[in-house]
Amino acid sequence: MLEALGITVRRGGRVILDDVDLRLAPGEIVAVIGPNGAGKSTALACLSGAIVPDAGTVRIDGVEPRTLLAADLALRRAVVDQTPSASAAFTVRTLAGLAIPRAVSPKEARAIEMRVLAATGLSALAARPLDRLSGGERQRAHVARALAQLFAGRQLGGGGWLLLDEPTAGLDLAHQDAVARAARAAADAGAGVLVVLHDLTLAAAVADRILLLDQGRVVADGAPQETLSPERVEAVYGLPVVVDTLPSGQVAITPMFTVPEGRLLCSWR
Amino acid sequence: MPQASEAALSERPRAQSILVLGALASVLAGLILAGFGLGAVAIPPSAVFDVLLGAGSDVDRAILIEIRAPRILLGLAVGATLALSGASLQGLLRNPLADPGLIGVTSGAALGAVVVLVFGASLAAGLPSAVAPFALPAAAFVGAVAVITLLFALARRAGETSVATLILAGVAINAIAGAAIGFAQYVSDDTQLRDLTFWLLGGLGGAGWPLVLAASVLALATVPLFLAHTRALDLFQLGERAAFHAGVDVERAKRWLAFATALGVGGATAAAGPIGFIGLVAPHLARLLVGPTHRLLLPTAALMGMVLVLAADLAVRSVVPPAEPPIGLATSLIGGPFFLWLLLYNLRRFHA
Repeated sequence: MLEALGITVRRGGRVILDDVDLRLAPGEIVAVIGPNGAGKSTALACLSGAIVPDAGTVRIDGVEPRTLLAADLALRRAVVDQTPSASAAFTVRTLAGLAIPRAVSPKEARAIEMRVLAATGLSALAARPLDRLSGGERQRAHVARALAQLFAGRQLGGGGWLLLDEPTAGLDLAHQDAVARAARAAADAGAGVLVVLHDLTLAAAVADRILLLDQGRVVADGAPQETLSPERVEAVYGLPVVVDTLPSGQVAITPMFTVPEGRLLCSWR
Repeated sequence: MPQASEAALSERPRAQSILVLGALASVLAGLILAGFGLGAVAIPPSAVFDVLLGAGSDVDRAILIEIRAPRILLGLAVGATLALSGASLQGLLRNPLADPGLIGVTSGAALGAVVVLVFGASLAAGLPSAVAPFALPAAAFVGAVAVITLLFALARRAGETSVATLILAGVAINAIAGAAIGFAQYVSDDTQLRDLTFWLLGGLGGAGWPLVLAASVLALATVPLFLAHTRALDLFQLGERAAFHAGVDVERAKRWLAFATALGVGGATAAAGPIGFIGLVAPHLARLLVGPTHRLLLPTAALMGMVLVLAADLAVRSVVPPAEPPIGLATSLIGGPFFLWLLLYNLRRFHA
């Protein structure tokens, strides 16, 4: 299990997380949603071990992350932060393999690199330097890097947890879908996946469970359709939404934007 | 061809990188031989080999062993440590501007050395003669450690190192150390002033065997420290938080790399004076040749640094023999324009 028990984080007199409980089991995908500033990224940072909460405990495989060495922690969980970047023009393949520990043999490392590049649709770009990629390709390359760390960790007896902070930001529809499928593949392989998302429809589609945060508190935690009731979403986000269940079974959350409809002021003939 | 110039900063095929390393090593070997053979007295390669094999004339041996060998060894030590420090600082800080000279580490080392040079006579009187030659590198090391510790402490913001703060603080420390060195010059007598002025311009010829050996041992000690952190330096390119996520003990890696930098720069500066731009230029040239992966970048930069220092030394020895302009003039003369080219080249890349 990867769990947070009553974690509270304060920064400069402001409470960012207030007594948050969160549990992630192997094989499941949990989406964390909520308005800007709700504490989503901070919750993920606590779970990853990057931040030690002011109160409460985090346990990864039963151990508190702050008692583990960075290298040991890296075997257990992989992370993609919000807007990842690289200041060197590595090739896509090098970036994908960058977080694979040296304990993995070069041959196995190469196999992992190929596998994660295929999973993120980047195989054809393997030899391309990062500074010649589009923003979406670069984002996927960072997801590939985390997947490789996860799979390498799995070979070394860990590899249980994948934490993604807005991995679909800036991606077009097909690539959002590709990242969601990669997350599902990781979960099917036995990893617990926590993913911070802004797109509620995508969250409902990809997640087994949705955790709704508002002002540092857990407002709801449950199956997508339970969590995403129109009343609750409107109360938290301040905008009415329509929740439809499509014939395919997919849940679509459509916001009722209040901006006046666009008008055609002039047209080019 | 913008395509080619962009690709030049990215990774090269492995075979090409090994070729580059081999070529640099050959150039270096040639420069070492030239360093032995050329100078105020030209000594043919055959005579150089005779001396190396234990034969040869007494005059040749005196020149080679007492004058040229220490200077070449010092050139190798200085080139390798400055280049490795520069490459590591650039990697650690994700900033192409980072260079032990620009952020004040060299000034700190120089200040430590100047204190010993000016006030050393009174200080060293109490030291046994066996320890005396190490007072200079020790003082330079202390100066370098003081600066780099101060820099990382000042630049710490919310658990991470703020690169902008660190570099700006480095500029300020450079100014302060410069003023302190100026004060030392002001209070020194005429002989000391002359020594100081030449020392501050940098040179490989001023140091005798004991100091050269001390600097070389320090340099050699730093090499494994730098090379042990190639993976960490690669991961630092993703930022400190992401490096931690990938398993790097960020604070520990920073401490070791800062320690190695202080050790290497302190030793090099004590023996050769502050030599500018090698730490900046060598890693950039190496990156153009083998790309950004530190496992290849660090050895290439070290070779490149040694090549540049030996070439600059040969150049200053050859322009107006037997006089020798200081090597610092040569490195700055090459390094300054290179730095400008780098700025323009990067601007072009951004606008491409």
